[in-house]
Amino acid sequence: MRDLLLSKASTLMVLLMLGSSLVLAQRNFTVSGYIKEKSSGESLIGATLSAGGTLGTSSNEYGFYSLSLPPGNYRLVFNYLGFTSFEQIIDLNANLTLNVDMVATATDLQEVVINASPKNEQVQSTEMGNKTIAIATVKKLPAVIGEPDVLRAIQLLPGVSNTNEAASGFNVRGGGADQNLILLDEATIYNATHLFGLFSVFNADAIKDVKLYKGGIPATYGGRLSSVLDVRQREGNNREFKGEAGIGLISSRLLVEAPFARKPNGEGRGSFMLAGRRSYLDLFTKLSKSFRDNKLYFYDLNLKSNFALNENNRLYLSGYFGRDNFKLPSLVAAQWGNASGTLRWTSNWGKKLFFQTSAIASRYDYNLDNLRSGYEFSWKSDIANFNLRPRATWYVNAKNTIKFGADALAYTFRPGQISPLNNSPIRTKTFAENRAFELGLYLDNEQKISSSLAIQYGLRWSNFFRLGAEYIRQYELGAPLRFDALQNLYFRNAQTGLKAYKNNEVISQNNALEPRFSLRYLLNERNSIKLGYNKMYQYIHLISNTTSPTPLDIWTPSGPYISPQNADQLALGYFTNTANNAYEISFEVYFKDINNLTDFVDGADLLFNENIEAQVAKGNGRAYGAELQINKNVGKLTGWLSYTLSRSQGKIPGVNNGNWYATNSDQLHQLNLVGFYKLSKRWDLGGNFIFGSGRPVTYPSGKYTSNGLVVADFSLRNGGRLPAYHRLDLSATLHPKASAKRQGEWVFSVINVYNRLNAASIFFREISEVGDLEIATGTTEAVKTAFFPIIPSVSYNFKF
Amino acid sequence: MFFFIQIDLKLLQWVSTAVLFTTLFFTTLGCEKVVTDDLNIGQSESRLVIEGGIERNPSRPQQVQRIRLSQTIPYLSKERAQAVTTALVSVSDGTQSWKFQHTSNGWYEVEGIIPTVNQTFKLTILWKGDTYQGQSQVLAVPQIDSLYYAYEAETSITDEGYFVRLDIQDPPGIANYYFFRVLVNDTVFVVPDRGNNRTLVLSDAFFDGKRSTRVNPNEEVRIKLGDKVTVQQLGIPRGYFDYLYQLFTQTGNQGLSVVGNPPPAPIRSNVFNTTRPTQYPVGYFYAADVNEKSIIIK
Repeated sequence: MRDLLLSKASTLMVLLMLGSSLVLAQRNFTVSGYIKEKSSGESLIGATLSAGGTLGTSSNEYGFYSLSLPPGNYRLVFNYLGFTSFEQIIDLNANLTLNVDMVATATDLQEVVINASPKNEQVQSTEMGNKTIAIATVKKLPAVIGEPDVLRAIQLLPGVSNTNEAASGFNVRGGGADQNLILLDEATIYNATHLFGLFSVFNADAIKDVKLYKGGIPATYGGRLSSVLDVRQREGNNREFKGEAGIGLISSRLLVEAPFARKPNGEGRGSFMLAGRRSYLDLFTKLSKSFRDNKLYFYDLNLKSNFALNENNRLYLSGYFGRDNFKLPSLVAAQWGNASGTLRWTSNWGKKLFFQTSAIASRYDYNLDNLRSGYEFSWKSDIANFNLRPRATWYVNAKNTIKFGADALAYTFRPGQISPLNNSPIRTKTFAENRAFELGLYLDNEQKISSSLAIQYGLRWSNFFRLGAEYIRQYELGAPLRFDALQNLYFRNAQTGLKAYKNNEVISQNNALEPRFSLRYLLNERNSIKLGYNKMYQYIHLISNTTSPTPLDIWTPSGPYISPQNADQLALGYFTNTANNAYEISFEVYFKDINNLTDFVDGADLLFNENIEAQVAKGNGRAYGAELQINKNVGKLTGWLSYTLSRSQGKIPGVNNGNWYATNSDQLHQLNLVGFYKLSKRWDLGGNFIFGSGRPVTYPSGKYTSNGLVVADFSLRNGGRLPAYHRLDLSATLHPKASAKRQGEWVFSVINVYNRLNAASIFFREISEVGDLEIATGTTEAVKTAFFPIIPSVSYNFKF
Repeated sequence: MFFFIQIDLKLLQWVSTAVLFTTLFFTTLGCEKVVTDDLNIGQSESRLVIEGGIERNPSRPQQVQRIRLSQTIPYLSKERAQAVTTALVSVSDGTQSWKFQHTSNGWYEVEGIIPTVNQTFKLTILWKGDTYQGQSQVLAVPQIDSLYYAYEAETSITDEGYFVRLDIQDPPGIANYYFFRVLVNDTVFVVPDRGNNRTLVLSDAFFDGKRSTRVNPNEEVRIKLGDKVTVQQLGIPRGYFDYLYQLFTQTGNQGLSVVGNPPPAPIRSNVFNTTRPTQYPVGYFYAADVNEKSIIIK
């Protein structure tokens, strides 16, 4: 039945696409080419091209565009916000290649441009629920200890939040931090933060563009329920050698970029960008006697290079390597980090077909050494994948753009390997390796139906295979756990044996159709209504029962006992631009329904536990909300206001007596005000104000004594609320004099200007210290923790 | 202001430390404030609390078996827990049964039980029209091979002072769960601490059949010259290990929500209310095999 449905749906879609293209197949010619930034040769993503009326297109991730038009004279206008429009009149009577170099708007206009979306783009595009943040905006925001942070910047967008200010990861539209697909040049980043969540792994210098999909996720992406964060690295200057460096309180950065294989005109056939960053907290600790042997630092390296094989073919190589290192002598030591590499080939075949294929390797691993005397051991764990992503974009005609391709991922999960240190009695043991293969096949068409109606529709067929060799534990009643509704409690089922699967033998298999649809109806040139629906499947699960992910959380594949999670999202939006595009306003409402939400039984111990399936509970989730964003894009004062009204709830047997409860990411109101002000030629000011209503907290329902300690009893999950959160951050940037020899700038930031100690949590404990004496007093108290007091910082950046 | 006092292997501890460590360096980041008086968190309902069990301790053959019953009270209450004095308490091993007598303040005692290894005890409590039942099995514990002490220098987790250490030979091929009780001058010593869930309870999952040396049964214990220190090593069933692990994690949790903070959840008992299941009790009824050794610090 399901297969029949699938074949019918795909046939219908193919017919629809072909039909529309054949009907419109008159004798057209194509104008195509690459859009680049003139000074550096960086390709511009999402630059628009208008040929009059609704005829138009925009450049893809590689700056390529293609537009087929009936023969005739056209005035082509290329736009990219922050850049001077480029116009050219063409007489189209044959296919035409037109490469465009655009020039950034001169800065002495005293205007700051914050958003990379071109004129009326948000109104006219079929996209909804997504947002691009320019890296220049990220760098202008007040930064914690002076580190510009992509992940903190996206949390200023509506619908994006965090469980607390020092938590790693982010939550999109009420989803968990594990439901975000984070891609760096297409490679999956499994843990996107350094120093336990304080900073993101993205070195702002090396990043070109950040795009977040909260909804309306196109069929080209899959694998996570809530969002896609698509981060692209800079390609490197292919006109001249350039360098930049930054010195901050906690870390320093260095970036070099240059062309190579120069052509006679000085332009490189290729270019590269190499960036590094290292924190140097440990250098200070060396000065202190008591901290001398402590370690805590991170570093990362970013590389990107591209090379034009010829006019139509280009190779890209990009890589990332990041590491955190931590040690407390005679106690614990740990290292962790991501590594990824992407090799990509892009090619335009003819004028209308753009082909790209990427081979990607990505890995996250950690190592943990327990240095406590008696049971010293070393623990290792990692997840690795190889990913092949061929995709073709077919610019069929001015009205249809078809994308199709495959996304094949081969995973290896190594949950853990333990080995003794210092001759401790710990035995060497390796937890069974899990292997899986995920294949997504997709087809997507962006179609302009009339001058006011455009739709984008696609279908992703996702498949997940858990593969041998592995011994799978077998249980009584066919499952590791049974839920006793009477006692409201999970009980373990006895293990009855092991079933052996041979190498590459399919242990379990899932497949699903994921329809994606969005519609844009233009009320007029400046107003539109959009409707979006997407279904998402997530086949891998983060094994974490904390409020935010930790470096020691491991991922586990779906299999015989853990089902894939899935979500339906429906969204409706209104978009308008006013005052000659000075203001962009968007308003969206959404509803999300999540099935097979993975959660964990109460008291689950997930670290060093091979038998994860016996800790997993599953349930349902739902989230709904309204988001408003008002951008002011031009002028001396720019910025945005975003407001979110939302709910996020879960319902899991055994939790909260089986009733709906607020999830950790639930927050009713969230208001962000972000502003930038161009004070003078040399001074730029920035600021943001954040207000959020209280997040949920679980209050104890009683207490008792057991084994000499006071224990809390709980009945309702997340039944209480923390106090409301609000914070003001300010920044100021001093640019160099235009005549200055060294192009250096000073960035000053103050986080939490009025030093409000916002509650990150409220917890409950037995008072265990009287003076210097540690003692179980039997007396209990409630304690609020807060993380960021007022934090001033300064950093110096210069170019060479 | 908080600072790291006690750190354990578990992520929770070192993560919080690290975050503090990072941030303390630059700012006075990370702050705690007692807000007991700002909160109003009553109590939804009171539950029966069961604490105690059957211990087989060859060093104390005439041991009285004791169980304490009380009721939960609101978390921020300054009162003492209210004892339950009117319950009928009995245990049975399937062939014989023993009635407990209430002595005082919620303590119920019985003499004459001589537990044997592998014997299963079933507890029945009748109180206010509800029947509560639970059971536990005595599982053999190996001997403490040797108990010794030394004066140790300060480390990141302990002050300088006397510490007792022990050596154990774990029996091969059996899943063993250990619980250590340290008595100083015959009084059990315990404080809420982050390290408790890795120190006071141990699973042999990663050292099955091996000999462990220099095991510290309680890192918090303070010992002076002249003290008598007794270490009891309890062999406990997996269910009780899981219970204690949760209990020590929760009571040692310093609430840092940075990371490593599992959602607060009730720690469920192995005793159930068979009359009204939703009115479940808390606490635990355990059976344990106990091996103990004592030493005088000289």
